[in-house]
Amino acid sequence: MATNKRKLRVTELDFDNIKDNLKTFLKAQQEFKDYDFEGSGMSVLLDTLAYNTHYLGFNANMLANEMFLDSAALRSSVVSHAKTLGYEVSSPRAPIATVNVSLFTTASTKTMPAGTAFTTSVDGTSFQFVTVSDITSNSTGSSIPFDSINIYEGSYVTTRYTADTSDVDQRFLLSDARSDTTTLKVKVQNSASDSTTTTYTKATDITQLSASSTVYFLQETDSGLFEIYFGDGTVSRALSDGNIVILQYVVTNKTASNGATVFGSPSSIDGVTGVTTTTVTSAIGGSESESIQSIKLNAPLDYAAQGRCVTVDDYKTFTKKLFANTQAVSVWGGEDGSYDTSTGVSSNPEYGKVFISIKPTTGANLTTVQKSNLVSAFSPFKVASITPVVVDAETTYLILNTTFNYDSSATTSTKDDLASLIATTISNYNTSDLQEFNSSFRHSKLTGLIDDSDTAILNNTTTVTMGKYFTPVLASTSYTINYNNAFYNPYMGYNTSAGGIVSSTGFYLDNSTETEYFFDDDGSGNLRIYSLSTDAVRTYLNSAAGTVNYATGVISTTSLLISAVSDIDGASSSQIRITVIPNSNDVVPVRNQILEIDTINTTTGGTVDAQATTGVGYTVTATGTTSTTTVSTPSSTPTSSAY
Amino acid sequence: MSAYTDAQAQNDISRNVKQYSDLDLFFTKKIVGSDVNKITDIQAVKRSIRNLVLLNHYEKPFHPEIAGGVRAMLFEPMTPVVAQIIARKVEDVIENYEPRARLVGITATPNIDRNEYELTIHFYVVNAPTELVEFDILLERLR
Repeated sequence: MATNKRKLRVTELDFDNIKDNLKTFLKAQQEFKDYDFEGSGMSVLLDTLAYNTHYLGFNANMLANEMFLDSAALRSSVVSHAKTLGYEVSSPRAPIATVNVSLFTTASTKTMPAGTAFTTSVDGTSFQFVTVSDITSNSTGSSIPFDSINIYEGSYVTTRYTADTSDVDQRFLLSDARSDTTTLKVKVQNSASDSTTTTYTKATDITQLSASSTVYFLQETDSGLFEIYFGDGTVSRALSDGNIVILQYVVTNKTASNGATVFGSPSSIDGVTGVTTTTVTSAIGGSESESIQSIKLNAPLDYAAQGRCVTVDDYKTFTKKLFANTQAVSVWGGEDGSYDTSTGVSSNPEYGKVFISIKPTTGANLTTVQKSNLVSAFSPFKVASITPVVVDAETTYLILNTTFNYDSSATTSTKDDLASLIATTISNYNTSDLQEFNSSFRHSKLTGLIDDSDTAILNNTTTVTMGKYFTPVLASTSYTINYNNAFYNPYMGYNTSAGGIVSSTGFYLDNSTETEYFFDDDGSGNLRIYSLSTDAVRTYLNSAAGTVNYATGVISTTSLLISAVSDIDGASSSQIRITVIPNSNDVVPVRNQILEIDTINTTTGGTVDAQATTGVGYTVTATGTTSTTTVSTPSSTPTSSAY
Repeated sequence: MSAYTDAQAQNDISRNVKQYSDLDLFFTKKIVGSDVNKITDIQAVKRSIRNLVLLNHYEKPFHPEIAGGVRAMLFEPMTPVVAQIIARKVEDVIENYEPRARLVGITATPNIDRNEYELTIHFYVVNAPTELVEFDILLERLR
């Protein structure tokens, strides 16, 4: 072939570009000139060369991507990178329920074996919950109670392997990718003839191990199954030939049975057929195995934490690791706020503590047991003298009142159609921008979205009211409701005669069901309790039933005996809702606060804009005061459903 | 078809600057020396047309559109209509991807007894406009 002084471009990776470069290269020679014609023999040759180059380029690209945690696409690569960082990938988690079981027998002691099955059904599908360890209990007379036992959804599986050290490829795999490794128990039986067994525990800290430590190591394999492996006799105890490795664990259906409440008893336990089961807590906590995105996020953070909880981010990472059912987590140090069982979360500092608020993926708040378990789980990682405290997330509801003007000649939709469109917009905003920690309500963003719902909508006025619920207890108690956002109070004594800016749902005092009472305020910082006469005149029972701090957004009551509460939104309730008008249209959540739009009480109404349709006149939506237009009609409505 | 019988016109002289030259995919040896033969002009165009006609969709990497698509038609019932469709497909692929051939006519004749089509292509090569080239391809289903 003729000599070619051109340089061959090698930067392209695409098939056509590579082929074009080869053609450019061939232009310098005279021997073969038909390379440009698709049917020619040279074209076939170039196709082969270009395809091969493209193939190798793609392969090199994939290879380079899989070499780094950030760019890896295959789960096996991500898991492997996480392993080098010492990060343990979470397996699927079985939903856990807590039940009390009673055996009606005169025997003095009975044992409920691991694998005892309880049945339940969720949405018409049957599920089985099992115990994962043997539990022994003693008689209390006519029965033997097993209190607060944890049962896990799934099948209780036992897998046995006989160790063969000459087989270098031997692996001890959990049989199913749906195995929950938190339920895994590893025992090693000496041999088929010697039934002595030793229980092995999971290795967490290699510095604490010795050659005789009976520990196992856990990892996810490239097929997605979990695998255990043992030490080599130096790091920790090794297996010897003939040892029988016994793995017992739960294979779960993950999230499918979250929420299961009623459990059927097994036909007999330890020979006793009289069995009753009562539910203590419903099934929660079932989750999928950790996603690739989650591993990529948490593995470097976990490595950065070096197995210690020091910074706020460390606590966030460990919370997700220790409580797999976490959807969102908010953590703040004691210098930024504190929690008191009676007054709730406030901005008063309390040094020496770290506060953790969790929004679970399923269910409402964490149970007391889950909280104390989580706090204990933190103990090996936390800095000495720091106490973790798990705090429930608190939801502040936003009640919106939207009125819009629209051009009836620009649309075929009716007013109700447009109102329904706006309701959808609000609901979408609620899902996409709120309901998380640190997600602020931004008023102008929402009003902009409402205007954009339909081209016929010309403008809208949206007022914001904040609502919070509290559950009264049947004893004289004072209550503190913290909104963490300033209230609207332009001057002392604002709106005294019409009930200020506070309103509430009804309640009854002092074990009497005669008079229904409500809260309002006098605009001067006093919370008042009143009842309504038949002609809707407010009769005040107590004009100093607590304080309203407009600047910090805190309402405190004096000691009250609230004996009953009225229905809320037409449904019976055990709570009282107090609504207030915020000083700012933008509402900012802090610490454990989550904002959510109360779509039940949010109202939408519209009017045809006369200016746009007839050219004469313009009906103005009442915008009220100049400083804060949206709170011009502070309704302190005494009924439980209107806002 | 053998590599030797399709040779029709060689214009392999140094004065000819518009000569087509291509790699011989039969990889025959040159008479002198042990280098691989090259094919030129009418012979090169005929080979090219043959390659295009026999190419199936997705055989050319990343260019599924470059194909005669004859193979698929050989699985259709043998009728004059199918013969016509084959002729159209061959015409299309030559018109689109072989600019060196000025097509005169294509006939596809079904030979029902032998389960084959006789494809005859008449064309001029653009740098040899005086010579009408007749080119036969036998299309037969092998499997």
